[in-house]
Amino acid sequence: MPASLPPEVLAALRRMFEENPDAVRLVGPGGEVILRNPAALALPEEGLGHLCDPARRGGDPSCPACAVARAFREGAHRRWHVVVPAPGGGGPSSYWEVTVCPVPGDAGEVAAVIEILRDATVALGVEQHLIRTAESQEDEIRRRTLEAGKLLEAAESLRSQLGTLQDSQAEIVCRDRLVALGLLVAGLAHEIRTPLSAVLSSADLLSRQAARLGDALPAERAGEAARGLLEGVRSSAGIVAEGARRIQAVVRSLQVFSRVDEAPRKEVDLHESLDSTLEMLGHRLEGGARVAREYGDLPPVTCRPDALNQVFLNLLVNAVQAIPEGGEIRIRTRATEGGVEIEIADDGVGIPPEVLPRIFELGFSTRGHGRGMGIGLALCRWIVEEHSGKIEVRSEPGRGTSVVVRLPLRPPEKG
Amino acid sequence: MTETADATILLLDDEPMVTRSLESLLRMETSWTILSFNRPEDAIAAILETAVDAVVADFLMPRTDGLEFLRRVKERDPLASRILLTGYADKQNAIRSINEVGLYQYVEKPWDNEAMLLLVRNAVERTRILRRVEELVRKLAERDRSLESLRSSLLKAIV
Repeated sequence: MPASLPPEVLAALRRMFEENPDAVRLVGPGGEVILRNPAALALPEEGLGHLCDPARRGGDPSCPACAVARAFREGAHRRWHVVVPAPGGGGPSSYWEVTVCPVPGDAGEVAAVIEILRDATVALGVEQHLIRTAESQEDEIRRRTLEAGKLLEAAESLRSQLGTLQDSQAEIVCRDRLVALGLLVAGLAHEIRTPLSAVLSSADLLSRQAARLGDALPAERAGEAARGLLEGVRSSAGIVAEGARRIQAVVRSLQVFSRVDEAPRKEVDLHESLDSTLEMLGHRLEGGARVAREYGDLPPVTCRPDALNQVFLNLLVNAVQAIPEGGEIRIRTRATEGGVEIEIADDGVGIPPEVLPRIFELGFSTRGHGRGMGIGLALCRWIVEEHSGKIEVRSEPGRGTSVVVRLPLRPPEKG
Repeated sequence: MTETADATILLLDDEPMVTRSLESLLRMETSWTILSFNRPEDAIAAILETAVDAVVADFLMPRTDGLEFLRRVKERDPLASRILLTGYADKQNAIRSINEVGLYQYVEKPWDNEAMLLLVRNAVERTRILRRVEELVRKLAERDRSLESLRSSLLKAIV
């Protein structure tokens, strides 16, 4: 150390050396300790292993772990971290940071080595604690994230279950209404039939009577007035008859609806059903709608033919009403696995999307007052589902509507 | 029509509207005697007094008195043709009544006047033919008996 240093600096250096809480030793090439500070004097005696005082071990160069010996050999600064087992093998190990610093001699050789030993056990503990804390916090965050995900999933599933429940409740309410309506309709249809039959019969009688009266009037004396009146009677009778026939048609379709459970099942060629329904519709198709039949190979289907004819009739009537003049109705059939598929499509006005979800509802009608009761499609769905089938509608306003009916070859027996 | 100059038809329905329509139709298109009733007991009283050729009766639900009435008609005069008219489009009931009462025909309301006329005419014709056959059989049997008595008196005279 140069002697030219001022005394106050020397005093400060001495303080830094003596007050240093880390153990500082200056070790000579023979392993002898030239100088040590008070902290080095306080180093534990036992269990330090290679932290041993080199002097005590005679600076044994054979100890490969000896940092001081390595510093002499390599002439380089180094810092080592060393774990020291507790003396006697019990209790916690301690953790030491060992820094070695060669001191060059005049000829460039390593004249001595400064060794600084710092007990880092506490610092390491803090660090490890911090790491552990951080890790456990990460774990906690992961766990919470996972929990939140699960909660979200559960909420989603609950929401969808609620939706399903609401749907099935609506379905049940709808079914109940349909059953009640079915009973009501069966009673009503019967009540209507009897007076209706009298009306129909009497309207026909009126026409007959008017004709007879006309024949009975002596031609030369029958005034214009009498002839005119007779003509009027005949025309009125015609209107009464036509009205009654329309009522009769409504009653018939209502009865199909109410008797859907009673009619016997038969094996049926659905192409025949479709053809006969088209034939029934003949006069309504005269407006110019083309009908394209694209029939596939259909196996016979066990069903209640009256009821299914009613479905086809309703769908075809809807199609006829949807198309402008010169439109086309396409009837496509094909066999599917275990069932059949019948599509009735038109290129008519289509159904607005906001209305589409409601068209199978009972009492929902898009037609003007007096043109529909909103029973047709509800009835179709009722009948198709009663056959364990499905009915689906796709529609695009201005492009047309397609209704697909899917039926199993044999619906499972009920009850 | 050649055959239907005189025939008696009985109509039974609880609804006067129905019996009146049918009666008007039959009166207008035939010269038969038409008896209309709206209560089964009145109709039963009538068949005990008068022979009828054809009967058109409603089920008279819910007590099915109509069927009971047709059964009485069958007991009284098995040859009278029985037609059941019903507002219930119910095949089960139809089959049951045809089996139990022996119907000539089963007609659903609303009926078609022309078809109804044809049906009743055929019913009357059927009854008349059956009656004639019965009459001829009876006459044949009578002749048989007189032949038999003639033969026995002949035998007595000869022996």
